[in-house]
Amino acid sequence: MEEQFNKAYQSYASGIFRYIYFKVSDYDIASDLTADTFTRFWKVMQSESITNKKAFIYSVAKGIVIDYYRKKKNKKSVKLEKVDERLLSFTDTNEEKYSIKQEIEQVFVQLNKIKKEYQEILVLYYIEELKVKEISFIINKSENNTRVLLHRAVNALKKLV
Amino acid sequence: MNDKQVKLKLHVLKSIKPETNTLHEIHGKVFSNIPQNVHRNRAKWLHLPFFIPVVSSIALAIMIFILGGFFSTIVLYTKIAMTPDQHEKAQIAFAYAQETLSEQEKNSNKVNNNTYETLSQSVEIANAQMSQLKLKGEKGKYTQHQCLTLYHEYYKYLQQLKRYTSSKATNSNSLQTRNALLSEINTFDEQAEIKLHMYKDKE
Repeated sequence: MEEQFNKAYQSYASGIFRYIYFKVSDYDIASDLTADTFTRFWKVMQSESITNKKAFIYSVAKGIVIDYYRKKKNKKSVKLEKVDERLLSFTDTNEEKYSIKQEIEQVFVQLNKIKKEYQEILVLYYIEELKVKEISFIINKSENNTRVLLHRAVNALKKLV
Repeated sequence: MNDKQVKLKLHVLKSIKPETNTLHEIHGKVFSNIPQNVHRNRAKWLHLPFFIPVVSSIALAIMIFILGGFFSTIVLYTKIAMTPDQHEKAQIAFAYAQETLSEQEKNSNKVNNNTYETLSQSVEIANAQMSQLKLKGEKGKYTQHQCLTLYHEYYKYLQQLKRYTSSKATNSNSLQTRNALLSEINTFDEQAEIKLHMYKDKE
């Protein structure tokens, strides 16, 4: 069981962290919520067999973020604005870091102009590389509705460019 | 702008990744949140009927021999398997755990993953044998007072092991192993406390 868990952790922890970060825009909070996500995943693993672990973990992460905003006094969700430098530790030089940071923040500006629902589906599809079927499980919509939503999200982003 | 261009535009976000240390810390946090579940699973085989641990001890000894040639562990497993009395088995395993801890205390400068793994292995063996002490069906072999004395010593050893493990400065590579050992000790500690009360009440 531990082996299966560790395998899932290695494969999805980075992506889950990023997905949560996009929703809370705070490195330390994203770290705590990622831990909560995997703790919940472990607990479910004990009693149920999970067929699609990837989709399941992302749906847990979504629920954890919803709970986080529910408990928070100021329930307004945050905008994606700045990138925490700890997320850019892969860069070799300061120049590279600066240029990637700029590029990312420009994408953030554009994403902020479209609906949250669209942002999420674009992130799940293009960044986290989930299939439409998996996304439909996470956002709790039919596959057809998910496809339509994805199409609209892409169009919304295209219009901004 | 087509779908490919959208993908390219968003691709830069894919490069965002948390630091490796953060991922290690999160993993450690997850395991510190769920210590009992982890160790209940780990210790399932320890709660099998009496004859199965003997067979599994021998099998494990053979496996360890093939994999690593750890003679001291093989000698230990053989000794345990050959001893008919559970109280003696527990004493042997417990003595081995105490010896391992005092050896590690002597080499206290070099604390790493191996140190924690060695300690974890020895305490697991001891706990497995201790938890099989029972008064019913073992009449004439050992008394409840002997069990109480042994558990008392074992409980003291667990406290010493806990102090040793938590006092050691550790690097991020060993942090996970250390946390796993600490939660293991906590679980065994709780079990030992329950057994201590049980034997005290019966006296």
